[in-house]
Amino acid sequence: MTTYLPPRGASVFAHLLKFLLLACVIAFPGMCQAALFVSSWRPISEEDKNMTAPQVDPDAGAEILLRELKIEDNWTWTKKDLYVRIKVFDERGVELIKNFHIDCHKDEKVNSIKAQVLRPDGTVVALEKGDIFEREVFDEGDKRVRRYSYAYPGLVPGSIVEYQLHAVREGFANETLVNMGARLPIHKSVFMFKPPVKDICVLYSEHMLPEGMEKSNWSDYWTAEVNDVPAFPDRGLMPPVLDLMPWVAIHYEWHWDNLKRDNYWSYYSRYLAKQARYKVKVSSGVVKSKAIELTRGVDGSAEKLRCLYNFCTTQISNIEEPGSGYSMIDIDKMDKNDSASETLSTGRGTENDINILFGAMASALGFDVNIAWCNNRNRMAWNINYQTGFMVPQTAIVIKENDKLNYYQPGRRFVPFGMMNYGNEETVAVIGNEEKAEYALTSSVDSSKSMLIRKADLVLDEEGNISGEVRMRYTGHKSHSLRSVYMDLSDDDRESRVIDAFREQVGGAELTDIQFLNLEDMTKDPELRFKVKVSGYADLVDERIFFEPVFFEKSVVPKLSEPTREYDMCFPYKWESRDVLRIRYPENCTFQPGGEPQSVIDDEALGYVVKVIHSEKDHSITLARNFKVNVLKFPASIYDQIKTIFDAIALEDHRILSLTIDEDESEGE
Amino acid sequence: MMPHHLQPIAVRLACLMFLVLTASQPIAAKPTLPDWAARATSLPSSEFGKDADAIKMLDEMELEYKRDGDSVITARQVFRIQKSAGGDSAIAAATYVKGADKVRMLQAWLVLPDGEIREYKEKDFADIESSDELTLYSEMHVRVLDLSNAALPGSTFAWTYTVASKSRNASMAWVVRGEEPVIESRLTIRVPEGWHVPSVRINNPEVDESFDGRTYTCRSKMQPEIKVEASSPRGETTPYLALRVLASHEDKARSQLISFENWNEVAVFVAVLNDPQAQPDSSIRAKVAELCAQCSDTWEKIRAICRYVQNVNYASFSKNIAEGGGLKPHEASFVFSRNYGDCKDKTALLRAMLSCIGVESRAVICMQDTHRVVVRNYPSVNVFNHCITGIIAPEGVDCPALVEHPDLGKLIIFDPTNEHTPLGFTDRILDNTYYLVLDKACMGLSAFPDTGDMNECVFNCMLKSDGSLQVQIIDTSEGQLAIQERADLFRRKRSDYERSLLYYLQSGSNPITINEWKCEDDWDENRFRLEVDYEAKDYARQCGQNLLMVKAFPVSPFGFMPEDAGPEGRASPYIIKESRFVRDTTLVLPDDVEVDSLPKEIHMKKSFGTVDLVSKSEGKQIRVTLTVTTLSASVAPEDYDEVIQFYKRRMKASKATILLRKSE
Repeated sequence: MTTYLPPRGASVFAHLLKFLLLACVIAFPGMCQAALFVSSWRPISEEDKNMTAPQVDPDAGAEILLRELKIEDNWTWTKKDLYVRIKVFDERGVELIKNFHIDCHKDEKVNSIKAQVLRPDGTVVALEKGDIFEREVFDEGDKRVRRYSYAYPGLVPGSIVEYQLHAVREGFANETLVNMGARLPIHKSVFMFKPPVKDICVLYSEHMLPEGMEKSNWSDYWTAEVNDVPAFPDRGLMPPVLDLMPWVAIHYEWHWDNLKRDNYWSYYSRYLAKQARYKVKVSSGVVKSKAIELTRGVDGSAEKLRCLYNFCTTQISNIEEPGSGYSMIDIDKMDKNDSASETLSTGRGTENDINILFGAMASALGFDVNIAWCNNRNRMAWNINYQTGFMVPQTAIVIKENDKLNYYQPGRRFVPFGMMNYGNEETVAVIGNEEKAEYALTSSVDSSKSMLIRKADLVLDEEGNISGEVRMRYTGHKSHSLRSVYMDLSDDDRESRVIDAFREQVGGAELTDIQFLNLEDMTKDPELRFKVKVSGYADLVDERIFFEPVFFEKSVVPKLSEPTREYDMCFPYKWESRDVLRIRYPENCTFQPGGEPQSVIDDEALGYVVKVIHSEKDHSITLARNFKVNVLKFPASIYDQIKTIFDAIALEDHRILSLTIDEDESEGE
Repeated sequence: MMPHHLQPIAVRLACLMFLVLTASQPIAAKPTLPDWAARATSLPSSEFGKDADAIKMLDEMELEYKRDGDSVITARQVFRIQKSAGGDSAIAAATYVKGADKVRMLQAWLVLPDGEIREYKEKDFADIESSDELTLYSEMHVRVLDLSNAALPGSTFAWTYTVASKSRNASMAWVVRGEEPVIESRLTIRVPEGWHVPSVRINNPEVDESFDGRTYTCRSKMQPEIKVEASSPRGETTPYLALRVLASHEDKARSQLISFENWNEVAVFVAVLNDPQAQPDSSIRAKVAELCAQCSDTWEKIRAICRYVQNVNYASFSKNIAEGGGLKPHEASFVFSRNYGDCKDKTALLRAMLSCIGVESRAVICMQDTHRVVVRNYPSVNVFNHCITGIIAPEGVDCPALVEHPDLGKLIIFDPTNEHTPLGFTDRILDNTYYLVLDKACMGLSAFPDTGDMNECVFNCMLKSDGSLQVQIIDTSEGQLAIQERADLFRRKRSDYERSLLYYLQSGSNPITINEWKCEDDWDENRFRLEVDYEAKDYARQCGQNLLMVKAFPVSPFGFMPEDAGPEGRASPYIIKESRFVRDTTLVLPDDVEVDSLPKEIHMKKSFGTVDLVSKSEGKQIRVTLTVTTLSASVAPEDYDEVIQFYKRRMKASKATILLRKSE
């Protein structure tokens, strides 16, 4: 739900009253601060005092009974009043909240902090001034962080702690997102907001607040209230926190019309169209020459774009990334690039600079180029009614060909050509348009484009040990993930990490000759190769050898272990793994058919297909296994079905094949 | 409009003015490396350290002491970055004590592979408080410049700082070898006439030392990097020098430098700061009376008091640390009234409370950090970072944390900061290191006892005809394992703990369903018991026509394997802790299944441990028992293969397999 604050058509008298009030604020700051900020403690109900068990989350060690955040925007400064009351149930709760820290940045100041602890025996211990430690903890150039810290005095299980904080910050509250959840469960969360005194329009975008922002009768504060807010759960495959928590986003506008939904987004489209017109579609001779040089002799539009993309990702240094050759201090000192030609001549730029350069070169070659701001579904799901810049955090260059829109983000680290940053897939992009709001749905690449291809050539001996060579190739988003983890590590750390990760798949594995290929070459798929040995891989019982042929999943725990699930299962991207492995067994062994793993499912969204071929001539078995997740989300409502499938897959992955060791014929002679 | 004939003159005048103006502006000088950095960069290294991510070309420090005890420290370092991961060496960090020390100079340079030199001044260094979530306040600050993103392979990073220090701590460690290979290192300490700079070599550093009465120098060259091996003895890998600065007799009082000839001096010095703070007031006395009201004997009273102090909240805040403020606790009455304090504060409170029931105790200092260690022949306060308590043991008391101190008799070591370790036991973090009792009678360091690990896991299992397994696990831990289990349960919500149980139980690789679970924590005996009832679907796996395979132990506990030593072999001894693990399975079969094969027995005995696996069947019941014991041992590097064999056999035994046959 979205709330609009109507334009202030207040009377002259009301304006005069406000002027007088403002005069008081200026003339008598102490008086007025006191009047604006009420520092008394509020009464605590007997019910709260007698509460012995958490109510929002039965497992919580502490719960917030009340969290009230009040923000007043004066246009030149913003005041924040925070009142929090917490009930502590046990020692774990004490551990969670015992020390309090708040950091204020350069333009902020905490004017007062008060705290007290109501112990179970009824005594009240107040925080004394000497208990609060205020000091500068970070100072770099014009960045400063002041920290206020204290420990709650006399805190024991069963206590109720309260604190009040009054802070002031220079600047206004436009484009602020207020999260009404916290790391503890909350009984009642209240947000109150008073916009600046000038006549501007205010829009609130409210998530999970059915009642929206309401104006009370006796003050100029707009209020949002929500009860029983759980702490954000920590499970795997979760939707983003902002999709599950209530929040309010504040946006100011000068014109009432711009608060209408399409007008709001049309502002973005118009801005992007201007950016495209002046930064991308007007390219200098230098940029055009470079584009022509890079694509000389190249046929096909896709290949031309690939050449431009590779140039931008390999020859232009992204100053914001590790290994760029620039520290934060260097970046602060350097001049910003104003155009694509500057980015080209300096050979460096921000993510946006690199995107613009790519777009300019493409435009110079005659491509139909535009700019988009994209939603990131891994941060928050797109909702057209939530009119806030947080909805579209990432940029992309859009190239239209045959009525199809393709997106490119060369400025984004590790994103392969032809793909988007995975959070920007299968969601909405706002596109540049001079006249109206324009939206487009971005697509996601099929799972076959993001593959982990694992090959192994293994030998199983009579002792049950297995050894051989392994090669793994990563494509698409899988290559992105691999590079994100390993690129910036030292050789030793890479090796340790590979060993640890592989041992989670195959316990007890010993790895040697570990090599990474193409890790830094963004034009190729990275590969990992190593030699492996696993002692006691197979089980020896009498004259029989039993082993699991699905080598790469030997020690993997079933993926969906919980009996039930409340939240959708969200995957960062669609992907597949394809295994091809050959296991040669001793020549004096005979393969016993039966027990081979079987395929479980092969449909559009989910697939597990496996085939085992035995060759008596080579004394080997060859296994091909394909597992795919070709969706980005499974709804919680079908968790049972999905769990059944995954459990069946786990069963097949751990099927056992058997060999018998032949008797030595010479013994009988 | 200017007349036409005057226009050329105007143009010339304009050009002339331009030239004059620009000539008078100084052209910004390109940065250059200082001489010492340029020299270090040109030091030959040939093949030395060529595989390292970065080489430390120069590591230099100069200290100059004045008679009043103040000192000035100047340091210089130069690194050559060879690989991208070596960029982490391009981080300059100078620590100082805010309010006491003054940073006089900070400068850095980065020479990029293309020859560009960037210079960084003091304002480019961030000033950061050294603290964490538990710290309310710290005087320790660090000036940091992070160029790790900028230092590409082929770069050179150099930096220097000067700090005027008021610290009275006159002992230091000079590390000769570290994570990077070092081409040249130099330490120079200048002192007034009559002063001394004694040094002790730890772990055989290769250095040349000299002292001419005024100047001490220590030099070394071409030191390769150190690779720390897992489970090596603490503190026996890094070579360094332990140094002290001793004022002359005339200057001793004036300089007020803190350094010690022996451990007794350390003990006395810190005891003087601690003991007066451990006095009870009336509130404390009243609390002790309340806690002990229902206790039948002294040991119960001590236990109740210790438990109370363990639950006092932890928060760290020390002032005046340059003058030893970090060693002096707050008064016990203050800690009691606020219900929070750091380790020495909690010790002071505990001692005050124990004194109310006539029990004597002492503060004890130690090092709580597995990467650092107290070194026997380097008496200093710097080597300690934690304070615990030594309780004079009442008559007749015995427990794993009871030590026979050579100078003070029977003491019970107790850590009031560790809320999961009961009285009578010590935590793993204190293994393989030393402690010092703060008493004038204490002459030296003592070693912490190894209180060992014990775990017994009993599996009562019933196999069903459909191949699923009904399991009841009774998992009992004692010693340090119990402490770990307790801490794990405490840290998590119940639902999260259950999730972690699920994950652990499924390490046998089958989907499972937990029916019921509960924990029993016997705090006084330090015994933690976990009972879980669960069902593992498809536990028995088909292998062949009528054969079924089941693992004897539904959960495989022994995944740990020591690292392969590589072609060069292991360099340092391998430390093993005392432990005892038992896995005991009773498996009842359904009517339509019989035993085909039981696991082969395993009996292995090494000097440091044993592995025994036995199994038997009677009718439809199978019993398999695995016992693994280790002794506290230091295995020589040349015997490392024995260690590998032992752990491989242990792992194999824990994967023991039973073959069953379906009746026709």
